[in-house]
Amino acid sequence: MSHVRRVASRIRELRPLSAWVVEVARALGCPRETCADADLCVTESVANIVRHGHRDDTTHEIGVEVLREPGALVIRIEDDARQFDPLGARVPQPTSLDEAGPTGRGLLLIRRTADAVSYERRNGLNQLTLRFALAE
Amino acid sequence: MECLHEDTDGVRIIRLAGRMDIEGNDEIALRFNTLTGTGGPSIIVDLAGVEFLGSIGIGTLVTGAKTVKLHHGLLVLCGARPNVLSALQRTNVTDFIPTFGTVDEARARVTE
Repeated sequence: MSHVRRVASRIRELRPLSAWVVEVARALGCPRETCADADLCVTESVANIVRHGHRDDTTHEIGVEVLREPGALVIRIEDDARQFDPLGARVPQPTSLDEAGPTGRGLLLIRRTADAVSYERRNGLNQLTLRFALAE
Repeated sequence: MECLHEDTDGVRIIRLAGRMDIEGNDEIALRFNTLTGTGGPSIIVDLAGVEFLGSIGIGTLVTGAKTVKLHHGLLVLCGARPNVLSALQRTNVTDFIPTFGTVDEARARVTE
């Protein structure tokens, strides 16, 4: 069984969405660590869409689906923003404080927190799939 | 979010609490930047009350550490919960901002 929520592409939607994702993950039997990882990845992914995805001022919708598959919690995020493959984007990885900047860590967090990340552009929509491994 | 501080024996401790996402970061960033720009030379940021740390919050911590370094001081972190520590480690931040388990451990480092 999957759980689906659609939210407007606004920053103020992030916290209620985050709380819903954690609630659903808990109800699906996920441990605290997985709930926290899911929270972080959804927050970063949706924040990226809201802040960088659209070039117009109209409000768009973002869909989030949460489901349990054998051995994994799966979250799909779908949006109609301009095409963006978060797996293809270059991610800065500074090794010193002098090199480090204030931004550019969201994609790194997503890639290193989820156990698997995949991206598709389908029917004019971005579809990001995040998998979090679960012990059976 | 909350951003409180105390100055003791030349060490400023900044205690952050709450959810350090975009909304939370917006609530404390100006105060945090002011505190890192005017304190020191040693600053301990106690993250024990931070329940969530996103990329924007990490950016604020990095900016603070750079500001303190510009003033020839040292900013260190301590008290991070497991999920907050993971976020710092996954972005390599613990490689260049010293990070400790407790305030006492952090104080020992900045006063050595």
